[in-house]
Amino acid sequence: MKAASVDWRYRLAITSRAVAAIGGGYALAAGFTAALSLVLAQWMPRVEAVLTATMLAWLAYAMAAGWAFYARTAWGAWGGTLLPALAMGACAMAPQWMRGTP
Amino acid sequence: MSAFLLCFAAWSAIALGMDRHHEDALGQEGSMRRLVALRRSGWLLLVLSLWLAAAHPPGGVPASLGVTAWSVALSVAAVAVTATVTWQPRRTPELAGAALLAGLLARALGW
Amino acid sequence: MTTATSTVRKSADREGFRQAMSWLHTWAGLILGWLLFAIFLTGTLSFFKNEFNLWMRPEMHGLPRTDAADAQVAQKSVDALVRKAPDVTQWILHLPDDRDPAVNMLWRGTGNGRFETLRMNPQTGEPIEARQTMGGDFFYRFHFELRTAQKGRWTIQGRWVVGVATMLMFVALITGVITHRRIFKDFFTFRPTKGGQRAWLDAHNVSGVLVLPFYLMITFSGLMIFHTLYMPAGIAANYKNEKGVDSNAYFADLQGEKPESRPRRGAGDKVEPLPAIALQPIIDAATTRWQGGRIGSVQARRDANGRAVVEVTRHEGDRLQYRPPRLLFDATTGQWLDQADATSPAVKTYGVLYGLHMARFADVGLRWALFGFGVLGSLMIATGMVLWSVKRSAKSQTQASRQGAAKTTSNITSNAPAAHPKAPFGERLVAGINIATLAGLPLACGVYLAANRLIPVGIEGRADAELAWFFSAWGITLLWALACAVARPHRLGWTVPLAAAGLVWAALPLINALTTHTHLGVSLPAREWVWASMDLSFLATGLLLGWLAWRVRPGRVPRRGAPAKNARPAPSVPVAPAETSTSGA
Repeated sequence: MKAASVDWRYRLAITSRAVAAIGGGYALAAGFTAALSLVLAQWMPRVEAVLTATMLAWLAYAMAAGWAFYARTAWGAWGGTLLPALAMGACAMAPQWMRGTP
Repeated sequence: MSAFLLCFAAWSAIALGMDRHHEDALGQEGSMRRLVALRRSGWLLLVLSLWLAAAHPPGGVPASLGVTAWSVALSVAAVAVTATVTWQPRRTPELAGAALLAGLLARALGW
Repeated sequence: MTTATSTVRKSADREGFRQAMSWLHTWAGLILGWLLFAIFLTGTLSFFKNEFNLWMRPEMHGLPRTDAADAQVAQKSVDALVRKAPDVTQWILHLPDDRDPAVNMLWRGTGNGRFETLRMNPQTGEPIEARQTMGGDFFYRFHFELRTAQKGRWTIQGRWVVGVATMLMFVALITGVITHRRIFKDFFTFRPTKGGQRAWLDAHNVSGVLVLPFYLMITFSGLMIFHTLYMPAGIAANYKNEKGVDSNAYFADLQGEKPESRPRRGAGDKVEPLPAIALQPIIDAATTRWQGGRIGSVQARRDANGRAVVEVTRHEGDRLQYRPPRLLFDATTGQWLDQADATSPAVKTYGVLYGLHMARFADVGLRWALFGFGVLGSLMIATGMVLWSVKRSAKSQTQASRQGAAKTTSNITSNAPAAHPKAPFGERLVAGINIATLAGLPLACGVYLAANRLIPVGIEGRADAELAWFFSAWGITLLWALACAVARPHRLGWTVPLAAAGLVWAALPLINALTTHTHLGVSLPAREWVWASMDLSFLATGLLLGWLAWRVRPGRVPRRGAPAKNARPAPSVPVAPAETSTSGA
């Protein structure tokens, strides 16, 4: 890694990636847990579905964090974390929206 | 106990199957064939010790406990072998042989 | 960020990936590395929390060994409790076992208040007046919720911070494996005589890789243990009810029991006191159902319908999976009602992860091995942090000497020392934090144990006083370290706290002899191995810390260079010019 120059652009990029990794990654993991557990609950008791999804979610979080720092640009970092997070969150909320319940 | 001793022998074989440690221990470079043979037998011995721990766990404990104890022994043995090749490299082959015999004996005695 | 060059795109990509993961590994490890060290070290000590609990309550010495399944033990203890607190609404009785000879009684007289603790003689049921202390439970509770007081209230916040640190550790472990280029070739490689960065890197790699399965298990299980706090999205999605999220239903499913048997009560809820209970038939029935199984604890409470129930829990050491199975009986009739246990695959997996983390299944040999792994893990974190310091100070020195050389115009005989500028602030801060944590925490733990013997028994708030000694020792080390790092970084920064720690730990058996009747002079002849091994372990720890202090003392010229076959078998200290050494070493 290049020595810490006082380049504010560089520091901004790193901070952006860090937020993408920590916050975006968490959102991705949470969305992943919700969506996957709902899908799995079709075939197994819900406690099983929740636990399976939660255990896998930690790996998803780690991979999202890795992506945030491997992506070519900081925007790419956000794209790889926030977009999937929103998509999965939408999937998790979809049954509720379809039913029209708050 | 037997898991630790067998894993010690196994890790030693794998270590001796590496250029650097083979040279430190025996004073000469090993031939490719010997190195590969050492590493292979090491891995085989590891698998064998795992099977013993799972299929015939010592003390009649459930297999899950046997496998857990084996994985602990695996790491302890790895640390022990690292210490051996670092500080007593030339004794490594003898210690490995002794561990193998002791391990089989311990297994027979049910430890 | 590296951009992939066109030539060999694939391998360049892999290198770019590895470099990115290496960067992530460094920073994920560094940000909360000091906290991770504290969590790991206190967790390691917690493996022996029962033994610490015993040692720190010398009044428990000499208790008779009893057969826990003897119903008289339980009955006598409960009768004594009811005499003392007639309107008790819930009690949990932990029977004595091989690691704890006393009866531990938790009880409360309200619906949802804090539990009180009573320790009782197993033969007579009478309470034992032991000194007020948190004992080994302090290490345990600091480890997972950063507890700072006996009745601390910031436990949820503490657990969150520990959770963040755990996730960083998880990322650091995974990125560490990705970054380690020759993970198989260097598997057994440890070259302490080479000195400098190489020795520290070897130490970091070796302590990291050889015990990797343990670290991955401990970290992942740590994340899963508090998953209801850290990652509740799945629960929220699947356990909805009219009021929001039905967490009681989830917890019931997790434990394999019916929701009605775990009432959730408000703080002010009125609960009827328990009726008189005949424990003998219940315990006998439980022992019969679990042929060969040990009873761990017995509990009495009122369920959601107000019925008084007795729950007999199997000993936690009887299997890997946590929690152990529980039998439910009606308190008044003694009739068996239910068995609660988690049996489905994912819940069992969760239980096994939990059980592996807490290691209640471990016998003495396994427990010492796991303790050793914990020490190695703490060393892995420690060597990582020192390695960063050493690397950075080496880099900034080459930069400084280059600048110095460029500045000298006509001075060819450059024996005139180039100006040694102070190392950048960040480096000195990390160097200071390294000393404060890596040397300060062992010192603080020793001081805590000494405080247990030195603070007078019976004073108000004694348990918190012991904690005050702990945090003060840690704080003083921090001040010392910052002074060294800011004012004049030198090796004394490490030597003094390490020597102090060595002194304190080695003195513990002596302090013990001067203040109690549980010292080595009593325990060794009587072959009381639990008590004796504590004192002996403290002595060994003190000697080890003292040896470390000796090795890093200023003025010592470490051997470096040729790794001769008969080189002294000890890790050498990184060499750096005295004035600009920022690792403090």
